[in-house]
Amino acid sequence: MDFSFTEEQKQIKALAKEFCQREADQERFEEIGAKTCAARTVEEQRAVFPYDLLEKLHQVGLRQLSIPQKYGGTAPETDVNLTLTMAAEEVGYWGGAIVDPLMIPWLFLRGIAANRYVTEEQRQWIFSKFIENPRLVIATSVGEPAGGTDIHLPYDEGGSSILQVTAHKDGNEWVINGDKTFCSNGGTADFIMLAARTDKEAPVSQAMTFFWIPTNAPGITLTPNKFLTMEFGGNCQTHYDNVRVPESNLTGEVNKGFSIIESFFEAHLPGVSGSLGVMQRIYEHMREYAKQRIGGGKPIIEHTSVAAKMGEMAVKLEAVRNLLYRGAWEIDQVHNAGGRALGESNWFWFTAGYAFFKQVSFRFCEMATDIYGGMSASVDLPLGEFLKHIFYIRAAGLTVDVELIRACRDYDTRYQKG
Amino acid sequence: MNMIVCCKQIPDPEAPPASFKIDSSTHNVIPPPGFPPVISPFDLNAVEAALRIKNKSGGTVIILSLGNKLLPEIIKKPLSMGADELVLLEDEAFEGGDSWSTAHALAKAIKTIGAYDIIFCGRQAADWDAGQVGSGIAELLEIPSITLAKEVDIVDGKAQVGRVLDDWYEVVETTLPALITVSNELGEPRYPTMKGIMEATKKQPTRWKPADIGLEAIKAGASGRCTRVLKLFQPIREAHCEIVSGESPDEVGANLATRLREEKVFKF
Repeated sequence: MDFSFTEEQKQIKALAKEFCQREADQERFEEIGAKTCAARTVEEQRAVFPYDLLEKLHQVGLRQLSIPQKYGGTAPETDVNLTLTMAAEEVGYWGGAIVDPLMIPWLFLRGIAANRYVTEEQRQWIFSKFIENPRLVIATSVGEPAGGTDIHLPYDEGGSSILQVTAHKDGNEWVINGDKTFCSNGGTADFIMLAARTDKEAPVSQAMTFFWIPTNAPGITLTPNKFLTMEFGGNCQTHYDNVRVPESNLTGEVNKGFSIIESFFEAHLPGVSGSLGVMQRIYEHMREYAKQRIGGGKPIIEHTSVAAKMGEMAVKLEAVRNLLYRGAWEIDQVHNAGGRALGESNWFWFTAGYAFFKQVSFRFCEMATDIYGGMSASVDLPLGEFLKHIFYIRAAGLTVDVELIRACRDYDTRYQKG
Repeated sequence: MNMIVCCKQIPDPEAPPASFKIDSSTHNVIPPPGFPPVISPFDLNAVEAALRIKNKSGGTVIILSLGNKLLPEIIKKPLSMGADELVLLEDEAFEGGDSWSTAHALAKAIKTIGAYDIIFCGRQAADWDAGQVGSGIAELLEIPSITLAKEVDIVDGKAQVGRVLDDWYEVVETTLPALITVSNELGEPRYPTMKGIMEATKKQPTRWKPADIGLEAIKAGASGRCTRVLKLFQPIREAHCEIVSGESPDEVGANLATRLREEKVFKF
């Protein structure tokens, strides 16, 4: 087995490190984070969003790393998921919050690039907008008051009670109505990629369609969610009241939206590898702390209980890293061979990596609290912010239980097939 | 404008000092594990100087590098920033050189490359900090040398160079061809770009051994040294903390002043 990176990947890693070393301004990021959380309007969120950072990320080519080169992007010709997973970890390690404005475009535009139902014209439509405007922000919105995981799983048995935002055709336009509970990046987005029901009766897996909704369209209302912590882009509740979009804003085929969700999931591993980079940095900070902090007359790292915790954290960090990278690699193998990645077995790689990260990160914080002791809650140490972050993303994508159910089912399928 | 920039791969100078080790028997620095090497930061300032001229006036930028076991992902960084070609003097014979043998080999390689208007070097390599190679190359090529540049402009076919001095700077002019060493005051080097990285990955460097540049093996690397390292060591710095006490703040202050005077920190 060859775990080494290619020359190109090593250069991308070095670029991510250099960019973050020069651009990461933690004080500014903390201020942006606090103001984004406190904002009550999207205008307030937009006023603090680091558009200058977005432009710099675009200039070096990192912002468009998931878009294929033929559309003006900078995605590698092969191993895109592994490269994104690796780059996200590096940005998370060196740049912390710089990973925020990268994630939605990396994950979701990669999904659009890979999905078989998205046409060339539809790809060109969004990719050209994204490439031509370095300040363009995109968002996604699926979860609703009546169901989040239900939509993603899906529980088709729920029929039309799941996914209640609707879209119907009126002439050459689609008309959107309903409410969404969550919209990642919604506070600052120019376009929201919205999941809507386009068949009134069919189960959700056969009734979903995605549309690009301009946030300045008449009839749309965005209200920031009040969360403990938040990405720079802000998270919103959205209300659609007869919002009209032309046919060109359709993504993929009508009623084939669940396939697009699958494509998003298979591109999702960088979403937690960025957090893994943050966790690695905290681990290293904690190791130095344990060497210097005196307890019982000697550095606390010399106490067996502390050393064992450090060892457990090291093992778990490496186990998560291996699972995430292996998952990204597995998905890339299918892509490299010209096939569609997500089948039954590849759900395992996405869901297992996500679920394991979520479990490990909570245990990591528990052990880190024991090592930092009373100082763990200090705002001068990195643990408190990270704890809020993993709390925030604990239910991102799917809940852990559902991820594990999918992982278990697809693990069995994978090995039954040999 | 044909420009050549000399770049050196070195151990990362930002690695913690404690991570460096010295092999006292060979007088070599053992690179710190876990820290990939880098291009000497002053050399990247030199690359930036050349690329600014290229952007403004056109031309080509060739990167010239000497060493052994050079890592492609490191040594190709100037290509990712916008340089055009990479020439590597890469052979075991080049190992262990000093400023003289390095300058001698680089000068031979530059003659082999042929046409050039400006040769750029960093003001010094950030590993040994000798600062001799640039001037050595100029001497061997018999061309003007200007050191410590903070800005370089091309005016009427001549180079106008702002030089960093202790408390001010001066601007000097030279005919071309010339060699210019560049200081960090020139400003931050530009980032590589993703487009540059993808192009650099596809480019194959030109690789030369001593014979390819007409260099006798006896004059390359360690064999060609004019200097010899007698001792290489890490200085030991010890810090002691002493608590100065007293019955009152005034007495503590007085005792502190006395101790400082005893240690000759104050001379009154």
